Amino acid sequence: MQRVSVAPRSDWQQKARTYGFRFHSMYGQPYWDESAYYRFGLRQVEDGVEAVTAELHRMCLAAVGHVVQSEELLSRFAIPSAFHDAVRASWERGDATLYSRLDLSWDGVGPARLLENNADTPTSLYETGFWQWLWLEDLIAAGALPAHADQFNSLQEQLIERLAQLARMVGATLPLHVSCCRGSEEDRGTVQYLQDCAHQAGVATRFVHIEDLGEGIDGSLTDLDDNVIRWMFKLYPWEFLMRDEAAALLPGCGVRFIEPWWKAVVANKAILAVLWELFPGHPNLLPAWFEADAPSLSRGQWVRKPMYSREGANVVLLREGQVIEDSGGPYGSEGCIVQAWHPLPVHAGRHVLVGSWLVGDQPAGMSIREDVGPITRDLSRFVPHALID
Amino acid sequence: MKRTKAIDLAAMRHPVPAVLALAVVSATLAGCGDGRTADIYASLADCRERLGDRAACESMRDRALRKSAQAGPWYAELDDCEAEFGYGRCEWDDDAAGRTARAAPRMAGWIADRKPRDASCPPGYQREDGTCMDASPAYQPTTYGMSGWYTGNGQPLPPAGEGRVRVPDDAFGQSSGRTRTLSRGGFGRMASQAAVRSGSAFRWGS
Repeated sequence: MQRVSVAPRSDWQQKARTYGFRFHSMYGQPYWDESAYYRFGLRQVEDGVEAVTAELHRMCLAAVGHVVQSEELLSRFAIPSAFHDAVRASWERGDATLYSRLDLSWDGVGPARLLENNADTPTSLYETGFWQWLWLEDLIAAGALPAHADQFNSLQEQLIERLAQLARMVGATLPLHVSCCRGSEEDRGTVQYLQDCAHQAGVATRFVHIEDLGEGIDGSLTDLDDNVIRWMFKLYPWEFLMRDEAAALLPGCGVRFIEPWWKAVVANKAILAVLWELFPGHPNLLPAWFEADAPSLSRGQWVRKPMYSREGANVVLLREGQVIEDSGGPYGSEGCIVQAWHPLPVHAGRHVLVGSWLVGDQPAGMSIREDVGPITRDLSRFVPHALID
Repeated sequence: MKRTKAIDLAAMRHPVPAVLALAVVSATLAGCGDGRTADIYASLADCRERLGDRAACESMRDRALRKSAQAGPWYAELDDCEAEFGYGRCEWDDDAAGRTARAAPRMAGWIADRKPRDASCPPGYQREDGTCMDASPAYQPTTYGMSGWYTGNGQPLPPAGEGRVRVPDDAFGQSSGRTRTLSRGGFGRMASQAAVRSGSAFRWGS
């Protein structure tokens, strides 16, 4: 694992305009950074990330199966009791998943450690599946990288295949409604990317903002044209949906959701505590507990994370009982978990996080984020990678 | 190769803002599909008088009633149904074919859904003029602002001459049809509250 400086493509911003990549900079800060890339070997990534991801995913599924059997655990996961049946039924039906991203602390040598499972609303999808792919193709074409350079990134190919497969499962003629909240260019860009992939899979899509969803006369969900929604991708967390005013509509509205209901369990950081209970000492896990069950935090280094939080918000780093970093934010009221702190590797003064993607149950690619601080946040830079042996 | 083998770059171009492009698509969709016209019957007597074929009328009515029971509008409360369709025009069903008990409006009439006859046309619906006459239920909600005929999913059936209505192309689609929306804005508030607490614009991906 090397951080290698490289000249940015002279026309990358023009390309970003051509392809509609509008969030390469956010709040005046660069987000996409191609002044460097991370270099790995093929075998290194296949063993260190791909195989580990498949294993962790299997363990996570086992943990979901364990949690949905227990009303007590579902309650500890802060899933409102009105939705326990829907979550359990979704799991028992085997409702299909589209994608997820495991965040790993990995230095390229030792075992990767699972920091969290972004299984419900993962973003940086476009940057990973398309934009860093294009970067690699361009650098190979320009001779800046060798012709045999590669990338662990079949994300777009797999997304298209998976969407075609899901369309067959729900009935090929149903359009896929896609939805996100108003006000985030990044979320809208992510959803647009999924629309692009769906169209290439032969699946028609309709967009509707979450805030515009309607209640149909028959208890269905509707879009702004009064179309009944039957199949829907939502870039909006289950924990919010379940607490919104119209939440009572959800179990009977007849929508097949992507991601499905049971993702409310596996995307919850409480899954880290259950994983540690089910697979204690596993080399790819870090010790983790519900906060109430955690050992004394006055010795050693710990991370406290809300069960529900996004983009590294409300994460607190503790050393010998003292808070040494607190990212702040709006989350935490539903409870927290405590996880052993496994610092991210540092390259050129930046803390490096590996995102490992799955489409369905298949590992599908990798993304790298960098931050000057130890907590990866929404503005942490996205840096491409290449496999060069 | 560990990466996507090929990407259709032309399909990935979005040189105009995506929101604008979608608005154009929506406007185009809203303008298409003018539909067709069809006979509508308010009762068996009405049908017999105009069609002159008692057996066909009874067959159509029975078929429409079955569709109404299977896929018509329904409500958890009788009051809600009567608020929509008028006092005494809803029925309470305690044994709704294995479903939760519920209230449903009575079918107010039916549309003769005439299509070219093919092998799938049941014997009772075959017409001598080479068509297959199916039927779909129609309703007459009385909520303020609504009048005339509507499909079971709330689409209006505008008048198109004596005893005829205009039928949208997808009026009786079973899949992602259209319905009448009672209210909007029930979702998204958690996001805006969290954004206020965080003191900044927020995004909900992770």
